[in-house]
Amino acid sequence: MSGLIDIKTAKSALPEPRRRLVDQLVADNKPSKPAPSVLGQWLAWLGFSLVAVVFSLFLIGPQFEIMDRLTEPASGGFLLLTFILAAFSAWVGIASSMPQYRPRWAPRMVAGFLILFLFAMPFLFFDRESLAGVVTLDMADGWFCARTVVWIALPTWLMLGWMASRNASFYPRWTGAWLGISAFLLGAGTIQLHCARWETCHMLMDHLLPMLLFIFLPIWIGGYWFARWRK
Amino acid sequence: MDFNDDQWKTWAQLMKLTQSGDKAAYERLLLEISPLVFHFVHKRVFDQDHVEDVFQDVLLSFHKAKHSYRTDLPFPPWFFAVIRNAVWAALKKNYRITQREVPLEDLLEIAALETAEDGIDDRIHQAMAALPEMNRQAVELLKLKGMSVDVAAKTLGISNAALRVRAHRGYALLKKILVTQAEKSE
Repeated sequence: MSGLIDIKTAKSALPEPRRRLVDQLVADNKPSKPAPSVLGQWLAWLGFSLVAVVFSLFLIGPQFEIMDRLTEPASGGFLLLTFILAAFSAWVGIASSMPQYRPRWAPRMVAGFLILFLFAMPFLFFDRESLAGVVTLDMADGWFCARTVVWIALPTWLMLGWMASRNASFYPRWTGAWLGISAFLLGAGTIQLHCARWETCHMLMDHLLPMLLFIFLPIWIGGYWFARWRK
Repeated sequence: MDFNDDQWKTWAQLMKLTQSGDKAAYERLLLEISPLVFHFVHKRVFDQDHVEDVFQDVLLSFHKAKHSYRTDLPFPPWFFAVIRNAVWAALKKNYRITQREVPLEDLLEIAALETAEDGIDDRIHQAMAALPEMNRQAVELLKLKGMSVDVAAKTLGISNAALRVRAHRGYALLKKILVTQAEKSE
């Protein structure tokens, strides 16, 4: 039984380096607040995301025929899948920032398959216009949609990152990647509520491509940020 | 060692006290889990030279991650998952360091064998002198004076992890300097 061990005897039985390490760790022990549960942190993300989406739509405005779009299977399904994937990635990202997390293939496979399907949806269900036309329009409006996706993703990722950095991730790059995917998808979903251009090239280039182009950033930064707890 | 439910409950209780800042409880907890952690590490690390280093890394990770334990949940799953991840991370780190580490012992042996006529001794001394102060100290204490990581870290008044980083950078710089010197002499 634990209560019966003699600390002095147990300590003197330890080799010198271990004894010194124990002393250092004990001296370094300070009161700490237990980390919130994954569910608690995910709910905090959910609340923040709702605020971010509503605030963004307040600024840029929803598209005129949004209710029609939401009730159409293809566009409604696209939006639903985008937000569900964002929520799923946020959950796995937060879970991966906990020290007891064990990486498994199942969530990666599921997320990978669904993201592929999400990228395929514009080809399968929406009108195709010419790429040149999309680029011309983008040049004219200064790539508004792509910029907005990044602007929504940035604070969301920072908020998620702040929460995850207070945990203790053994897989910091994976944590960064999951949280990055979540943030970009939230941006993509929000801009899709605003943008009335349900066209293959535009959706891919301006709404989804920012995630592919910039995903290396959350992975790279996450590799440092979420590993800081071990320093 | 036989671990029963009472033992785990006691450790969960000690974790709770530790999180509230109770140093005596933490000391007891560390002393009690140390043999188990060491056994766990020993079974998973084949290179016996690294067992002690990995054990220390694991205990340090446990220390840094202890705030993530939720006292309303059972202790064993959290404990073993953290220890397992920490062992894996420590092994990966050790592997990276081993892969990139300059075999300084080999250089010193070559220097001794090939005599001073090649000037290898001098070159190593010159290269050491060219290192930044903090990296030079780390390399000297670990490789020339043969101190353990613990003792060397204590001597310099820094953490083990910081010492390893300094030494590792020192090896890399030393290699770079020696290679540059060799290229120039050719």
